[in-house]
Amino acid sequence: MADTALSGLSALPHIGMQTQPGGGVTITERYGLGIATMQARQGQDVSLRERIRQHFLLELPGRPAIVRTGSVSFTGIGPHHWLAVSAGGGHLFSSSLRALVTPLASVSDQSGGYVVFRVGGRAIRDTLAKGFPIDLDPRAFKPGDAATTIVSHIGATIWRCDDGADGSACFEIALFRSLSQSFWEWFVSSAAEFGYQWQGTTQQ
Amino acid sequence: MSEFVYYGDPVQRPDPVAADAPRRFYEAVYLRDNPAGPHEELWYHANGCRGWLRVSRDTRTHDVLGASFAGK
Amino acid sequence: MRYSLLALARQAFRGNRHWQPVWRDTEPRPSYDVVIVGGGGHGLATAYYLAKQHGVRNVAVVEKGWIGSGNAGRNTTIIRSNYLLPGNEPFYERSMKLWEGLEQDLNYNAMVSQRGVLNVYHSDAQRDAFARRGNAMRLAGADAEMLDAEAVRRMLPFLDFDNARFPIKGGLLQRRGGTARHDAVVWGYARGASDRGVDIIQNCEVTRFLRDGSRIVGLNTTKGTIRCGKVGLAVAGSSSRVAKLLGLKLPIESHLLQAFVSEAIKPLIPCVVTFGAGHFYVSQSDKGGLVFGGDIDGYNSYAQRGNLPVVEDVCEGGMALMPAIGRLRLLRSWAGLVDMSMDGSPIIDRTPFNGLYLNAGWCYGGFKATPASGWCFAHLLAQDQPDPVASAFRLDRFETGHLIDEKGQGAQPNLH
Ligand SMILES: Cc1cc2nc3c(=O)[nH]c(=O)nc-3n(C[C@H](O)[C@H](O)[C@H](O)COP(=O)(O)OP(=O)(O)OC[C@H]3O[C@@H](n4cnc5c(N)ncnc54)[C@H](O)[C@@H]3O)c2cc1C
Ligand SMILES: [Zn+2]
Repeated sequence: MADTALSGLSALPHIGMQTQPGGGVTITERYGLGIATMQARQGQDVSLRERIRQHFLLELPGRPAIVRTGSVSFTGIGPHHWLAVSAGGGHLFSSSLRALVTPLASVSDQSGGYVVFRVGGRAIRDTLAKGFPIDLDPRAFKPGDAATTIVSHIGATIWRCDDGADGSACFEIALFRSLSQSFWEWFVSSAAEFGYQWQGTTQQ
Repeated sequence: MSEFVYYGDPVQRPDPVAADAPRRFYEAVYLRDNPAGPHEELWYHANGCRGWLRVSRDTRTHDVLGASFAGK
Repeated sequence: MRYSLLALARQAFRGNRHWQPVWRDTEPRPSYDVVIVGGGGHGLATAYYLAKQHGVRNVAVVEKGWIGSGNAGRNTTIIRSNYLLPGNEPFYERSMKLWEGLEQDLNYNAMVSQRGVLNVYHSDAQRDAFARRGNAMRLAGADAEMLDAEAVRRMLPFLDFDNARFPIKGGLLQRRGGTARHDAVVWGYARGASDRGVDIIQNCEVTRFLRDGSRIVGLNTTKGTIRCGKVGLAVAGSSSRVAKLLGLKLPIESHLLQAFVSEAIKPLIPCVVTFGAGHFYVSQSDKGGLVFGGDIDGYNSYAQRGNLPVVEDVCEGGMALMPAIGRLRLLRSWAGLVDMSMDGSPIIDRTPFNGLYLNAGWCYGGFKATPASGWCFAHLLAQDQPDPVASAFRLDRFETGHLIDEKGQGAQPNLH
């Protein structure tokens, strides 16, 4: 039966090993993620928070921010509305999340709907500033902060990860998968002056 | 074009069966205070959470004086 | 003094030291037959035609700043009469005809340049819409030509014709359209009015209306009280503010429109070009700079200062249409305060107050209207009857349903 199992594809299968010398920024696609949006039902916010607290031992953010536990994260993307991401699990993640929070919240699977890119490097802020209209300065946008906004006309949610070992910044960007080619074109033209390296997909 | 879309003055829909409904609809749809100074207005977070905001903004300086969810 | 070749030569031989100011800057007298509020193009043109066509010379134009400091001095100078609807097109064609004789009439060089206005189209549906518009123009006596892609290519070979998303399929050309020097238009009308006895009073803001019941009998200004028989408002983006002094609510929102000028380059763009798939239009000034603009900023504002998302949007439109300009540097940008009406068309009408007349709602397109607006507003002020070509520009049309909505957008001014 192995033949019939569907395996996920990279959102950018045709990129190959693209590099522009300069070493300014890196970009990776987080691959094989379980992604779901979760929206509290009317008046169930408190109960939902309690359920999530018990199960994941974390507090759902009440603002644009990301919280993590183990391999799962929740990002506030609107009032009573979160983006849940699990490293691995694919669409099965949303099924288990739905089972956990029904009837307090609605869950929709987005594993094939969104793509998550991880970007970093010493010139990453200068690169992102060309497309994101928000202030990503370290004083304004701290590790764990998130924003649902646009990048070069493309709707996106961005959050700041912990800085890399060399002190360079790291962000993750979730956007609709069907727009990943547009994003890619914007990204490489914006990063060209600094140099970039496509690091392929990563299973985490 | 950008993250938020401007919708303009938050007007109450007049009572359609009131005796002076045509006049009130005309006023609600077509007339504006258009103040130079604080202005109450609706913004739609189109490329974001798709929520509606009621924003108070100074039209002379573009300073945002306050914002709340429009539904509330 | 009349300008002529002889006058030019005479002044040149005398070292150009004897030129006179072009118009008289005056202080207010106690009363006038007519006071025009607003010293933009429309106010000054109104005063000029009142004096010239109707013999009404006891007239003042009061301006809160200096003349031409509003939209008249901020616009991108495009003149055209390529409207669709019967309420609009005859009016704008009247304006075009007045432009064609303006410099002789005013004896003033307004640099009217009929270099052509070309609207490019990118799809079959857009071609049909432009063909319809072109036919409407011709029915009103204006000129219009449909060009195919090859004809556009001969005019502007550097456009991105084969753009995958927005290929250029052709254009609607009005050869008689073009540009005029905006502040020369202001000065020319000011001179013509001033020569005929009109007082032009600067730094004079109207702060209050004096009433006798529902009749307006005078104005309080920052230069004192002025009594008058009639008042004509031509304050563009400030219309609601001034009307509010009387508790009058208008079908108008004030919005921002930005304009841009690049560094100068050799002659590249022979006409006015508008992009059909985004908000961008451009012409090249005689000094060589590209003068361009796009959409309004989209929210009510009195700031006369634009924001960056629109700068980006306009530049993206420019790059999509003519990638060749990608390395040009922007020299300057600014914004004006445009009076967006609820259907995108203007108002030239009486008001609920006796003796008060309104000229407003010009949106982002009232420069081209300057001559006809002045002509028709003067007619209304002098005769108490609208000029036939402006008879659709009624203030009550929003209540009666006789909208003139070129774009079919409804009462959403930021979409017009
Ligand atoms: C960036 C930009 C580009 C444009 N491009 C074009 C174009 O290419 N083609 C086109 O046809 N149109 C264009 N327009 C529109 C056009 O400029 C305006 O519609 C037109 O100039 C308005 O008429 P006006 O000249 O009388 O207005 P203004 O010049 O704005 O005159 C109104 C005057 O009223 C004065 N005023 C206000 N309140 C008071 C008061 N209380 N007392 C006394 N005076 C007062 C103001 O100071 C101002 O000088 C553009 C506008 C802008 C802003
Ligand atoms: Zn939002």
